[in-house]
Amino acid sequence: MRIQHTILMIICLFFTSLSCEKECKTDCDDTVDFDRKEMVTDITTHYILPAYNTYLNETNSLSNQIDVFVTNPSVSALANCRDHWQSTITAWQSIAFLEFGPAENIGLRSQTNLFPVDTSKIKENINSGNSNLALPSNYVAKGLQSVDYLLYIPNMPDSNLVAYYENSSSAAAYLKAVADELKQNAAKIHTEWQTYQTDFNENTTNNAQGSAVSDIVNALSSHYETFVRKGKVGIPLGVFNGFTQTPMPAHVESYFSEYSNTLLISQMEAMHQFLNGVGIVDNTERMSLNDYADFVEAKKDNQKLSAAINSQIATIIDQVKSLEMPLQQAVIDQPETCKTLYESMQKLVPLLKVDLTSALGVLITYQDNDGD
Amino acid sequence: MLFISTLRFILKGWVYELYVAPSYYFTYYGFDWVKPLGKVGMYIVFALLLISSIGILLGYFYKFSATLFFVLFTYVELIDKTNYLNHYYFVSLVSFLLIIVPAGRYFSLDTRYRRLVSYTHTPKWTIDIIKFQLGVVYFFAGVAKLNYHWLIEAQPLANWLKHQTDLAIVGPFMKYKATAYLFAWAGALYDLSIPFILLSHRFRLLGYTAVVVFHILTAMMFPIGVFPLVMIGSTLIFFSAEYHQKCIDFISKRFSTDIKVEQKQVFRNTHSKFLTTFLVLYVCAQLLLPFRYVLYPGNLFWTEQGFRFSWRVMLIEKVGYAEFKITDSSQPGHIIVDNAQYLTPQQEKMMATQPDMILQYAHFLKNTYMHSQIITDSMSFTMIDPVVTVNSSVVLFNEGSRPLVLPHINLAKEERGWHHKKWIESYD
Repeated sequence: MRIQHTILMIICLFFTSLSCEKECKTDCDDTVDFDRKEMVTDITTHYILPAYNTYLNETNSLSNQIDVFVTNPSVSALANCRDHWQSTITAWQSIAFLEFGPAENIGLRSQTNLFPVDTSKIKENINSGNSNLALPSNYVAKGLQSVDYLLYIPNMPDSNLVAYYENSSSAAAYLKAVADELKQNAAKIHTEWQTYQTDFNENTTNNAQGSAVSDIVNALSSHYETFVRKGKVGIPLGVFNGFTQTPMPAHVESYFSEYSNTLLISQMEAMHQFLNGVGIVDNTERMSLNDYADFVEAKKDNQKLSAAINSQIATIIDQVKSLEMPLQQAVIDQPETCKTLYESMQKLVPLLKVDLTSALGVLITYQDNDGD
Repeated sequence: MLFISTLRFILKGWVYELYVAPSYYFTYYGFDWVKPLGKVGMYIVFALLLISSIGILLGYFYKFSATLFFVLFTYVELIDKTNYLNHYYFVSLVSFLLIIVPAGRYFSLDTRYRRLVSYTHTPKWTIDIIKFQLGVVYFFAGVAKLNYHWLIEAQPLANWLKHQTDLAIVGPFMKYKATAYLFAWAGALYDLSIPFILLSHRFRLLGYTAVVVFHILTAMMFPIGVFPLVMIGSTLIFFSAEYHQKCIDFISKRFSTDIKVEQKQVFRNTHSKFLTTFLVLYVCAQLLLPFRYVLYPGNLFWTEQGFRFSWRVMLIEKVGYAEFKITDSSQPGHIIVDNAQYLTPQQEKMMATQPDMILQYAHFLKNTYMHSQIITDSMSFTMIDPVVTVNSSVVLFNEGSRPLVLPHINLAKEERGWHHKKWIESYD
């Protein structure tokens, strides 16, 4: 009997304490609903779909311009091609970190923007005239980085480059084929997302492996750690180059056009936009991963985790802007500035891979490696 | 049950993933000699586990099956601490206890076909020791919950529940802090009291209902594998002999095999003095082991010194990142280690949050690079004194990531063992 009484008392006490707690909580009104499905749907509708759409349009225009150029090579047509190449690869930065679902199925990133390219392989393919771009062994000889090479061949003034395409129909055909393949892949992903979006938006009952949130966070963190921090800066700077860490300037993104700084900034801005739920078309803020992190009250050094992430991205962008020359030269001439930049980029890795995943209850399913 | 668990393990391809694919294994201190047997070997081990679990279930060559199961299961668990789970430890212990108790001596194939004496009665201790083991699991899981994070902050439950707001019916309550407190306190109360409730005759049915509800609820909310099933099944032992006899009668009717009700046969152990001493020691060890953490300074959840083998279930939320750097004390330059080259994603993830594994991996790196030839454009030398440092970043309960290991410590020079690890950053 006594035991029964004690148990009863404990239970009573417990529930009274609970009801007090509950009253306060409802009065204090510090709980907000968080609708994960709404967040994912917002991200899909206002970021992912329009971003793929923009990229598809850019690849279409690029392909058209290249068509014009190879049919009738001229310095002005070449300039047009280069302009469109720049806007295409800038649009690419907005979708590069969406490597899940349709993009992951075909390995879009490796097919689109692998660097450094193998210039001798490109030449070989041009000479043979019947290369199969779908072969993985040709990934280093196609995509946006091959266009970078083909539109900016070193030691070839513009007039010589025009003459080169005038005289070599196989070079012209190869440039055209590479641009067309970019367009086709973009169209394929764009089409698949039209149906994939339904499943994706519905796949939000939890954040387990394979759920929409898990896919998004893993893809973002993986892309940043391996392809941005390491690929765009770490490797060219020599951080991963054996024991001596000799810089490897030829390993920067878009080496031939020397466009890497701008692309790095676009990349960080796109990630910022994505993390904060800013719409691609209307620039309006909607529900985002950062809101989700705020909802679960994720903190970092006495501030919100979302604020820490945003300010770290801002720091990185500022430091890229402070470089006085293209990255490939900066890693030689301004190594200390580049090292500071790399350290800032390194600091963002745990914010995404450790803090954000922990806050959102997502398990990291990838491993940082050379990523191809 | 053991059969299902083993089968699930094999079907999910985990044998290959966990015990064949990795190139490095995190062994337990003192058990570094435990090595996996290669692809064929490991599959044979798991096949034997399957067979022996059937042996235990049917009571065919029971003692041999139980011993085989215990030895193999424990062997598999000892290979790599990456895969440590409290319920695997529990399975090891129970299978060990099954060797001692005569659970294969009634309603078994042994008594039917091998003409071993069927015992209808067994001393109380043989059942009590299993009850004790189950009680320990619950009670210490409860004791482990009596900490600041669990009771006062309702962590990590509060964080986990926030992601469950779209669960059916109960979902809308998940956003309230009070729900987390309810779960946290009820969970602790449940764990602490359930062994005693199950022991009392009057409340047993109520207690068992609680067991079933509790484990089904946790299974719905968290990815915890077979643990709920194991516990729901095992706690049946608390029920009376009559109840189990009824079940047996029911099953035997189904198979129309009648068990001859012979005269009362009592199981007696011949080495009783030795056994008594052993069991007393075993019980003491089980009661003391979970408290060994008090011998270490610092936050237990941060340092994880004395964390394993203590029934600390679902207590922490911890994620980490570790990047290793190797230099040679006599040379300039360094190398950043690509963890993927040596570890599986799961191993890397577990290693990054657990200091003892970080140290083990650092020693592995030291041995890997020791005497290796470093040849570059500007220099060429043999590494004789590899210095291993780690840039680590760990978050506990979403309080913001911070370094777990002092960044300038040469881990190659730190020793493994049960002493306090001074190179762990302090948490508070």
